[in-house]
Amino acid sequence: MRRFNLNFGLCVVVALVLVAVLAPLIAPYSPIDFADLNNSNLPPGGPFRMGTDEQGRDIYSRILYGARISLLVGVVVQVMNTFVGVTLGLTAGYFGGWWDEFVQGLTNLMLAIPTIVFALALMTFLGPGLLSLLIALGLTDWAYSCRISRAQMLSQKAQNYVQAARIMGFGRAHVIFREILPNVAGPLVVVATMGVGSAILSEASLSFIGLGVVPPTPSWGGMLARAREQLMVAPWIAVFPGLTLFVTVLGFNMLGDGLRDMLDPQGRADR
Amino acid sequence: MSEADMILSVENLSVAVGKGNGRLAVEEVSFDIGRGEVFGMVGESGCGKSLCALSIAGLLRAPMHVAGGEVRFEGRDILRLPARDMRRLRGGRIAMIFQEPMTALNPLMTVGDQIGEMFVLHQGLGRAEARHRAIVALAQVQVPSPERRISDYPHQLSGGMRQRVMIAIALACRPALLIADEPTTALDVTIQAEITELILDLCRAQGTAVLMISHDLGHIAEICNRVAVMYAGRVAEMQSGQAVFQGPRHPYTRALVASLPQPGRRLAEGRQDLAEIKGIVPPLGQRPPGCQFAPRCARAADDCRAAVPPFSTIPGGGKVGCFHHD
Amino acid sequence: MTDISTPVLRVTDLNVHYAVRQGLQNRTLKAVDGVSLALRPGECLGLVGESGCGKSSLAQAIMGIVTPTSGRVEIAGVTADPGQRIGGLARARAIQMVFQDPYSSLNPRMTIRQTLSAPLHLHKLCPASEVERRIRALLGRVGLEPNAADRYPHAFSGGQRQRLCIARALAVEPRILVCDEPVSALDVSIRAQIINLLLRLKDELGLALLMISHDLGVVEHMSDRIAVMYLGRFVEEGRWDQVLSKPAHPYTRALLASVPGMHKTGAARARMTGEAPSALRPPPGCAFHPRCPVAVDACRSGAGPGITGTAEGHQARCHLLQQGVTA
Repeated sequence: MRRFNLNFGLCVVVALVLVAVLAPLIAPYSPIDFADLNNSNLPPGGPFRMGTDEQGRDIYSRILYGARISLLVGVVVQVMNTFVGVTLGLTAGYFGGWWDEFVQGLTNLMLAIPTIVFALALMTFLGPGLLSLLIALGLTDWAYSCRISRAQMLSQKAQNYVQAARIMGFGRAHVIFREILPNVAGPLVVVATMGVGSAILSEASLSFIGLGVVPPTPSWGGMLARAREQLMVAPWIAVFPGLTLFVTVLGFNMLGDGLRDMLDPQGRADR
Repeated sequence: MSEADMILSVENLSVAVGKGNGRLAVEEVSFDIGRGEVFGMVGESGCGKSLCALSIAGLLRAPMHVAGGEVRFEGRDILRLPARDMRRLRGGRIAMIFQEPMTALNPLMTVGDQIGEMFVLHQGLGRAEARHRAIVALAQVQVPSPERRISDYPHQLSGGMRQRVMIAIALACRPALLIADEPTTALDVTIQAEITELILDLCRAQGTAVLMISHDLGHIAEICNRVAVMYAGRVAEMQSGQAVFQGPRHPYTRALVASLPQPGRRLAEGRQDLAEIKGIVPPLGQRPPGCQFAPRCARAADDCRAAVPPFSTIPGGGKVGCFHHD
Repeated sequence: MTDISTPVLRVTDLNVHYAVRQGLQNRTLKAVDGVSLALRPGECLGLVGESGCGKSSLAQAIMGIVTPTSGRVEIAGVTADPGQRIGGLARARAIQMVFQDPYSSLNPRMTIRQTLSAPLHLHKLCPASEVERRIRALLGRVGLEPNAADRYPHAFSGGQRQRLCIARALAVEPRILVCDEPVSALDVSIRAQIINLLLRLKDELGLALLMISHDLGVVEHMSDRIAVMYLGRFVEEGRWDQVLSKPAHPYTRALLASVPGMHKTGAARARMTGEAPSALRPPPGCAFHPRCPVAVDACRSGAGPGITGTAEGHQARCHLLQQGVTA
């Protein structure tokens, strides 16, 4: 089972990356310009594998290009979140005191308010668009990585090698980021990987309510939003982006699960 | 000693890790303990002494399992006893104390209830009577003001007091054999002697035999009638307590005694370099064929590396497993 | 031999107190209570006492891991800033530490080469071209092969790891090595190797050792001087043979009596009962009186006993000594 998780997740993620990079080569049509209203709302089959939307654009091509947005958002947002969460968590765990209490309070606050609401509030300030989407999501979903890095730090801090490094005269930054961070990287990678899936989902949600990627740039969430009105007439417009989104998020989560199993010391044969 | 005097006899006991015969952590260990005897097992971590104890108590957990041999307790082969009978035996006729009393006590039960439980379970006493007996038992292990202590929870007691409670629980039903696995290692030096004496006094008074397990050769030699020295899963030698320290026969025991910074030695003889034993204890799975100690032994010859040395008897009692012993 | 040289470590009236909340009350835990000591190059001071007596707090205060409440720590003639934790590369170069548990003392994600070269770079001890040679020399010094440098800590046994920890400490050429129970986590057959190594380093490098141990055999074998600690205070200090053969404090006598094979005669008389009281509620008077077999009324109240010298360089804190009564 653990092998399956890892392999499935890895396949999905590798496929996603390939699709995003090679979209111009694979896609049979342009995702934006092919606006021939004679071809609108065509069902799957024929020249349009997954049918066309209400503006006559090829859904298959739009999904391929949409992978670019999803991957970009997922990775950039998660890098930002991990950076914020790990920095806050590690320093809070290491220094303790008022800084720890402040960070913990902030974390609890972030956990109490749904991420999407927080991001929404930020987006109303920043206005719609890809950049503000990245900023809004990248600054709001770091609570889990913060908690986990804090807990990891607390257990590592008790290890003698940390004291030995301090006694050797190394500065705090060296001790935290050069000595301790490599020892806690495993669990953090797992959290970050799973977070990519939820970031992609958040992007889709924001695009769905019109706050994310600005049309006509293809985004899976945006496509789903458009599909709502045609749901009775042309369900395929919703089904394919929805399915892609589902498989992608599942893939990242299973990759994270698989990584966790792999990093679990009890599962390793060589120790 | 005649067969009838034996309370426990262990014959060719082997314990394996993993499936089938896997890797043997304990290999063909044999010894017996007489009624009321204090028998010591001494060895370094990983030598298999605790596994022997757990096998006798029927407490081995997967992936460890008994791979061969026989353990006879009061004439019965207890390795093949149904789990239910073994549970009845344990705590009743065979009792056990561990190194860390905190992990062996239930943190959510008062110590009185935990001692009283033994009387309820094994002797079918009522609650009131069990409580009364628990107070007596606590007084016996020299816990001050036992009537009050009886309603304490384990975390309210110090390490020494907890170990006293463990002793009270273990000896509650007057067992015939007490297995004590490093009972004082986690305690302060000043309390160690007191606890050891308490165990020995109570067991002597009840006629309980003791299997005392420790890594401290000096400690074991002082308190035990006979001692088995273990190395890497096998018995190296078995002698009387005094002899094993003052006249060790096996090269391992000799080297160990010479390497110990013994209290009082420098005062008496001036500082002498400690004799180092080269190398490390072979980890499980990397144990050599033949004698386990051969790679570190100054006397090792080709025969040591080829075959496991058989035991030869030592004049004056005991046995030693070495081709080139003294 | 080295007694004439000036101390490389001097601790004067050191206090480490912690504020502890117990229920509604704020109590002061005196982990270290007015300790003074001096340690000379090439000398080994053995520090013994029960767990919770403050040995580790004393070591941590000397290392700068905890901030002392008051008192002075002078290392290699320089007074360490009391307000500063750790503090200064100079302190790190003068004093290093070896821990009890060698398994958690080495960073599992760093090769031995990384572990040993990091201090050399940090303290700029040698040009980059020299580093490799230094690492070989360090490994050789602690009895390990040069190829150990390429491996990770998990490839080594407990004894080998303790050698590596010593090598790391030696990298900065310290003058003092604080050893906190350096052999008690090791296999019995390995201990002699580490003890011999530490003694060799003491003699060859003139290293001053502060040897914390509960094992009186180890302390007897290694120490030039022995200090006995009880509830945060030194109750006795002196030359190793004086402390062991003519113990002046009842607690020292009780400690010796608890060791198998040592001081068989009179052991029963000196044997103490009960356990050490909590440092949070030390008894009035002499802190040892509730367990002391020879306590008199004067011990049970008032201030604790002061220091009485019993012989050249041998002193103890006991009322009976002050009154000239030989217990």
